[in-house]
Amino acid sequence: MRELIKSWKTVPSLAVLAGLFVAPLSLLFVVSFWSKKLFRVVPDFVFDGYQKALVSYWDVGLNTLAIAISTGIITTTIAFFFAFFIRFKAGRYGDILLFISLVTLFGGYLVKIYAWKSILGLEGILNTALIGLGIVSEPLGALLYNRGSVATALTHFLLPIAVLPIVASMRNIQDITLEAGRDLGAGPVRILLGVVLPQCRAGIIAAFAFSFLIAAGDYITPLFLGGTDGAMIGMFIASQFSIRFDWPLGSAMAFLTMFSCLTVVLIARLAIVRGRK
Amino acid sequence: MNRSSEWGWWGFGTLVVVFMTTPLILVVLFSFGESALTNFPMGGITGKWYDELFANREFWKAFRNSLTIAGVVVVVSTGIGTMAALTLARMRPTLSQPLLIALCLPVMMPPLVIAIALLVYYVRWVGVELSLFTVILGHLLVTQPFVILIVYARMATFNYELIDSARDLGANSWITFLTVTLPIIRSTVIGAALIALAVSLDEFLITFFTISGGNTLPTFVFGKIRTEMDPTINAIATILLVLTVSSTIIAMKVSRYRA
Amino acid sequence: MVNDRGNQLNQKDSPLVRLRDLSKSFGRVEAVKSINLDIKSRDFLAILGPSGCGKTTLLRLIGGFAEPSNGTIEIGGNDVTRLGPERRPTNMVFQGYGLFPHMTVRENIAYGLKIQKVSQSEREQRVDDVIGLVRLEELADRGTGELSGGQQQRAALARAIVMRPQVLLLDEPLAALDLKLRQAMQEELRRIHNEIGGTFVFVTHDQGEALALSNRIAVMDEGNIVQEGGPEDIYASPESRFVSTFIGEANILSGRRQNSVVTLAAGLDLPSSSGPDGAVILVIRPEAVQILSDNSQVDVRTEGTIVDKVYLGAYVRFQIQLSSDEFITANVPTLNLSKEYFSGDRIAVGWAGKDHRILMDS
Repeated sequence: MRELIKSWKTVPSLAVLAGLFVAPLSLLFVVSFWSKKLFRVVPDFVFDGYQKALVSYWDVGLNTLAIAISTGIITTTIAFFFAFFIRFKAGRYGDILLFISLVTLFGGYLVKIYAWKSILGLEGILNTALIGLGIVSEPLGALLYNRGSVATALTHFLLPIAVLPIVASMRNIQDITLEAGRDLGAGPVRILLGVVLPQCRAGIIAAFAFSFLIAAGDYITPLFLGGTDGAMIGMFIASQFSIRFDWPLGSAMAFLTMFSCLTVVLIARLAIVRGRK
Repeated sequence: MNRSSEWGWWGFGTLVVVFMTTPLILVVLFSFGESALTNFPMGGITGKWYDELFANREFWKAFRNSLTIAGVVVVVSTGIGTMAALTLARMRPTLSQPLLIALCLPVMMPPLVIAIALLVYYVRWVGVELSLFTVILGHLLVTQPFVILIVYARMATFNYELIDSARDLGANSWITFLTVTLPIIRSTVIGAALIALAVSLDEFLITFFTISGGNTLPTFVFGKIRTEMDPTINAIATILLVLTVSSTIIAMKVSRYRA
Repeated sequence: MVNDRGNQLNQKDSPLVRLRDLSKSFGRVEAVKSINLDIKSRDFLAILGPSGCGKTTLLRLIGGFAEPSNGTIEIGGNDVTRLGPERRPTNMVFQGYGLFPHMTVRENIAYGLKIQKVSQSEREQRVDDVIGLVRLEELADRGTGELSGGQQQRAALARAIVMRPQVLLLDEPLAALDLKLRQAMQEELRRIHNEIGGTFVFVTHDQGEALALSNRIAVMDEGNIVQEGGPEDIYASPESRFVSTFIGEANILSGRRQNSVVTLAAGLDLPSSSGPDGAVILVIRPEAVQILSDNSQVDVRTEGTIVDKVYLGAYVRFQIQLSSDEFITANVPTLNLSKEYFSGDRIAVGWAGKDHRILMDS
């Protein structure tokens, strides 16, 4: 009781959380059961939104999961090796490398997407460079507006976020365990997979969860870089609120997406924890 | 370890750093390029895209809006976040851990979901006009977790004997905070504030859905990318980049980055 | 109830600090169990006990850093039980010193006076005085990070003393210092206590420190004060097995008392020992045990075999096995040894009856 009275200083923060997070999300959940009559959204308790979402958008949903899962796996893999490099190989440069990746963490979400658009475009940097070097004779259209371009830009955006938790968990691994492994005759691959990997499971799970969740929920990257092939669910959720005003459908799609994402994260966690006992 | 594998690691490391930084470097580079297209050859060095941008009144409006929002957000978020973190740091873990996770949930959710939830909430339930104010509220939600986490992490190594000492010498809890706690954790709080600044300046989705009229720098960029590949985008992207990256760098310098 | 006048009249003999039925629990753990203790003005009191005995909690209760679960604390006749540390006439020297890292030594010492809004001239005077008292003149304008452990200790002491507390509390004041420094600081503390004539209460787990510094000792075990008194009393007349072994070294021999006769397991009868019947222990300090030549007369005499012998300069330490298979240690001054003894020798040992104590075995 005394502890609760002393903790009044957490009240403003908790009020922000309650008033601007818990309440709006609860309302959104309620709205997902409302119905749309002509051009008005009315309180109701129907599953129209969920039904429509599953019938009309299951393919986009699967596409989203496919892109997000591959992005998550690619990002986490690169991040793992990069974190290993920072922690055990780069010596005193490790801190500088970590610093660089941190600096790009908060720098320009839209700027990054825009940069990839200019790099991968028909008249973009990569194409002009390839032509200039005589590798191809005419610009490659396949660079942009597909799953690959979306996954590339997302990986670029998410890499710093994924590196952080893995580096943090590798901090606790002592050099001596690596040396012990080498001493017992383990090769570099055995050391990496058998000694290092099991000790930073928590970091890997966090890295995958973060990169997968953010990728799955993103909508600006596929909007600018995805085309029809790389379309993701976020674009359609957003349009229910900005153009079509079908709030129940949009909310239902949002909750279905979050639910499937959570399932994927839990499965991934189980796989990583069980994988190497 | 043999030589070749050592080289392999360095090659890989370099490749990752190039991958992370090149797109951003190119944007900065082309903002000074003569050519109207973002491709090679970029032509001579020029400041004309900046001139063109600075002559645009819409840009200045967006810039002012961004600074207004970020200013309020940084002050409020740092204030309430620091207060919460200091309190959480002294609670027993069974109470503080769940609260900490709850307070950080908003940054683990897709920003789009928060954006649409806030939109529906403002319009349908609260009945408030969308404005810079509603944007500020949304930014508080996604910046305070960073402040709380950073300050909370600092307090793990804080010597609470100092607070006892101050109390023992006659200071009440408010004076203790001002003369002892705050001066000692000042650099961490400044670091947290700068991270909040970077997050607010860079925030797009929540702003986009809850601002109604007007622009911030990110929504201004968004409008430009959508309509045309206007070369001034490079210039404004560079400005945005300089603002967020420099505040991140200063933040990490002052708080000696413990992530 | 005593009226104000009565209170005033009583002031002279009444203790400065009065703890009544004081207890403190953390969840289910009772750290301090219903303690009653009086501390007189100008006392240098040691609260002595093993780690985890509740001694630091007791000190924190007196200083106001923890609120008691039960009981009252009076200082100078005022009930301060519910007051925070900032409103008590006590100041504390913390175990980790608690010096503010963002201030110089001088600023640290002046901190409390500034809060009290003491005028600048008086403040400077008082700060200079205590800096002189703890001999930190040379270092007064350095940051606290540049000080050695002993110097930090003096700075923390000065910061507390400058407040002129009615009671100065010290939490394991010397624990973090190495042996040489500890001895120097012991002298320093005694000197300062003499010079300012205050009331000091300090917590320690080191019996040597308690004996050397204090004029009174309260021994704590498992949240209780098990014995209290002057250092000589406690050393000479321990009232329990715990106190006898915790303060100084002691040999413990077991026995039984029946009809005022104590029979030791080692095969000795000690007549005329009043007290209830039952299991007893005999406590005898190693320095009181003598090795006897055949004709010497002592009150208690038995035989044993030397199993170990260590030469320690001023004295020789013998480990002797008695017929009961109990061991007894004898520290014999080297000068008193009339002949050389070896491990395996059978010898007679004994001591004066006034030197041992017989306690009920609890």
